[in-house]
Amino acid sequence: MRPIIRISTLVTVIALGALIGTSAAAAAPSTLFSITATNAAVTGTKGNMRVSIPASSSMSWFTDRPGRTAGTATASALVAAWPIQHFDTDPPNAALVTTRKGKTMQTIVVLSDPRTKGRRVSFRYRVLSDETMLEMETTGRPTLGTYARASLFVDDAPMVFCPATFNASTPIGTTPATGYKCLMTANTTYQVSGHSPWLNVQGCHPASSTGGGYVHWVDSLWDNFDYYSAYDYNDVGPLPVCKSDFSAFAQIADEYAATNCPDCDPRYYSESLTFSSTDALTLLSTYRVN
Amino acid sequence: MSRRPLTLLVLALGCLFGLSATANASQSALLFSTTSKDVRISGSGKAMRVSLPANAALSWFTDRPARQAGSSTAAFLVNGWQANGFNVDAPNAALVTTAKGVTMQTIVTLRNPRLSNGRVSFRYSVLGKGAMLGMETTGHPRAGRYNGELFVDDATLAPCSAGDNYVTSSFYQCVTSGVHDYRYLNNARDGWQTTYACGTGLQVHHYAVGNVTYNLKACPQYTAVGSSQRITFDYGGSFPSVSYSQNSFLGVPSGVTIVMAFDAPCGLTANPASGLLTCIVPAGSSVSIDRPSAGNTRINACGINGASSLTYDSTAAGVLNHSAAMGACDNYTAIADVPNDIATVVIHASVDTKLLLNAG
Repeated sequence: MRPIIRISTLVTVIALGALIGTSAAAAAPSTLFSITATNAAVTGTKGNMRVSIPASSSMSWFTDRPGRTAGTATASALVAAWPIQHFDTDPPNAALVTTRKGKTMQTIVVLSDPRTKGRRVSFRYRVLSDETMLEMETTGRPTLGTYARASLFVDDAPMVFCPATFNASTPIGTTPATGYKCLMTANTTYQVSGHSPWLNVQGCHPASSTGGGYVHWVDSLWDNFDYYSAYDYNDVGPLPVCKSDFSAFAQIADEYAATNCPDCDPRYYSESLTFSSTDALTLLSTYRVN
Repeated sequence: MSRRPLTLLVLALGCLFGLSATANASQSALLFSTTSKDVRISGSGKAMRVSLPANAALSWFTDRPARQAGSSTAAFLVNGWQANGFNVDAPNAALVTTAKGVTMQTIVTLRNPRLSNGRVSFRYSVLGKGAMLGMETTGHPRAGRYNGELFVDDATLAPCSAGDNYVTSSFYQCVTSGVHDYRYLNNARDGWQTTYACGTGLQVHHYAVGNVTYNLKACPQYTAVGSSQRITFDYGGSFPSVSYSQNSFLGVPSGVTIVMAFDAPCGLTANPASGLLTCIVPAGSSVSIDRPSAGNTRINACGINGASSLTYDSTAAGVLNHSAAMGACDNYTAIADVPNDIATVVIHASVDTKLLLNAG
């Protein structure tokens, strides 16, 4: 019997270890960014190189596996979110892919010092090492000048941008600091659904982002005939500047489905909160109030 | 029939897969960026595939705060698939395609890797409508040929660099991809450095004894496949070059994990019959220790890259995920004892850790 006891003990302990590892990994997925620009300019001198792209360049973001969340924003949102992603204290690595006259080069860099000037954003970069540079059809690092296309693949941010729709039925916690947090970009509509029984939504704006605007929210109801009702709506703002301990959140909206629609049959009705913000960037936290 | 044993078995297997995908602490998570002028999209509906040349240039780099990077080829995405745990938990990726001056960017999940006819290919599913950016066009890329880029998260093991000498500290881990000449040069410590490997088969050419084929065990059970003496800068170029060429890996099956270290990796279990046993627990992996001989087995530990901490579970002490500090190597810290024949201690290393097991 002794070997059986040992094997079962080992399996149990390893299984517990696997559970612990799984829960830890699931708690903190990181976010990656892929920016594709229709033009780019490389400027500067050795040791102080910069790459600039249009601020409106399309940016996709996606979570590390096992997360399967993705969404879109623009390069300007990455710049505005820089400090809140802790990129100011621990700058991100990135793959910089540049194309000119049909020739493509790929270089691994560290990005820092993001700037916005007019309709362009720029980043200082340094090449991680010569070994990291892949000479594909041309030789040497990207030279000064303009490029017809450029891509930036950027690791590894702790904060996601808000998906267009997201489900808050299982928020992480019951305070703004422990709730589900994401970043809203300006004039984009987001829909929060699935909350139960009570949901609070609070927000703040990053210091690096333009503030002073307001968040517009609508409490909405759809029935199974696509009949739409707006129960309540409001404008909230200006929001306070975010603090690292999330103590600066302002209440935006709360929701208690059973109160708003006591006769609603959940089989035929769905209810959600819809948000949009005039601030360039807004940090949103949704959490459950028990 | 109760489902509990099956559940435990599945969880344990999951842990094994996790262990097999363990990386150096210094390597943290890895990302891949590959670019090709010949990216092909095929299929339709939910059966889309993307392919590119197997020799397309691939850059890899670590998550911050680490600043490591290197290069390989797109073949590594297939050859390192299992070692990186992608078969259990498929990677997400950004797929960027350009044709006729029109660029599109789509977020996908890659599955079902294939390597044939000089090309690698993956089945992909689009993560969601919100993930697709219509930049100059709308809709997902259609079947056809593109200039393309793939940006893939989130691996744990880097490809070994072909033809390079490794200047390692005391521990280095990488995954082979294809047949290459892997040589290494160590200038960090005195003594002989041993190379360990796990995977399926490995042919090593030893300059002293010729070709040797090893039947390796499944990861993370490592087998020693050769040793090489340290070269120091003091010896300079006068030291015979053959010494650092003792391990030239000639026939390297894809996906073999190679560890170069002074001490053997602990593997899943480490049970010294008597006396002292030294072994390495790579960051992110675990090792189970019980006591096959009479008396206690004392577990001592040190952090390979400096003072740190580990956690352990002890059936004897009745603790789970208990945290313990440890000094820098080789200043060992006593962590726990395994006092009887049914007790087990499982060490969980969050950094590269060396164990000294004192049985008796």
